[in-house]
Amino acid sequence: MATKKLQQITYGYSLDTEPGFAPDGKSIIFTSDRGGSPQIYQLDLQSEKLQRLTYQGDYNARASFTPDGNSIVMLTRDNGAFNIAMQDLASNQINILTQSSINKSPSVSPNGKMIVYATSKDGQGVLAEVSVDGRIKLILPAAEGDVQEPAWSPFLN
Amino acid sequence: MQKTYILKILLIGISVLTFVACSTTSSPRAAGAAAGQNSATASGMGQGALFADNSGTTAAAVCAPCNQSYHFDFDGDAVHQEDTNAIYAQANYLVAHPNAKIRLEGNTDERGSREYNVALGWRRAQAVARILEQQGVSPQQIVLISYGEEKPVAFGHDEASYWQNRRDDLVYKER
Repeated sequence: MATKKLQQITYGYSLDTEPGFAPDGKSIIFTSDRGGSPQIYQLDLQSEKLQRLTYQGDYNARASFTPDGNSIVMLTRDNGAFNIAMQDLASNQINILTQSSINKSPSVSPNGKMIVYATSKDGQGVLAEVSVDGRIKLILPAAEGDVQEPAWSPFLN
Repeated sequence: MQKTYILKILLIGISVLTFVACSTTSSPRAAGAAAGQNSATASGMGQGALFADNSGTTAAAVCAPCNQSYHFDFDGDAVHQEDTNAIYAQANYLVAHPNAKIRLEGNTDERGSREYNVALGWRRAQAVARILEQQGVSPQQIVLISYGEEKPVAFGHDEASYWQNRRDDLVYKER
């Protein structure tokens, strides 16, 4: 940040996008289609070791870590529908949390309990929330227009 | 029997469309006048997709220089074989008219990740640009842009609409 110098960290002709830091700041995860379909990869910034994190399904994108760093939350395609999913990084168990067709832009709350995401209802773009165990779901009513790309603020005092 | 009948109707439909598109190019002035409608005509091709299976069979008309759209498969950036004749015709025109300039606008359907879709749209624009450049068009004549999923032309939430939205729009800035 001080020198404002850019350093390229991924290479090649594949489409690499949507990067995000791990909570410990030592690695990033990003979406890449280098394997033929969009999947999530993790790059260790020290060792430059690259690891593919997702293997289930042919579309996993827009991932971010939960605050404890133990899981990632992402957009996944399952039976043609795009849903919000959570993957435990120890067991690689994937839990699909939503059951509609067009969902996107998941963002995990600072306490790691809720995920806000964009969906549509009656043709209008609205925000919705789901708990990380998938048991609580709610839609945030929008007064007018389309709402998209939500993000949690950090804890404020 | 039934199938061939439908196919025939479809073929007649396509040839009529092609004929209409060609007739506008016979006079350059008319082509210019029809340019505004041409993108509509080209995306109207997508209506063929309502009858046909979603992949293929919707060749873009050979109508250079005209604004038109080329369609793609989901998460794909491969130009469909049936669109290549139309793209070659555009390339021939651009080579013959070095002052002509186009913009290739890559678009995606609404599904998937918004940011990823911006990159995917860019790839689609690049895919057509690569064909044009292979045919000898100067890169100086081509401007690329990706709108991702933000500029749909069809607003349904079904494959017919998605097909129309997964497209490159070729737009003439100068002819």
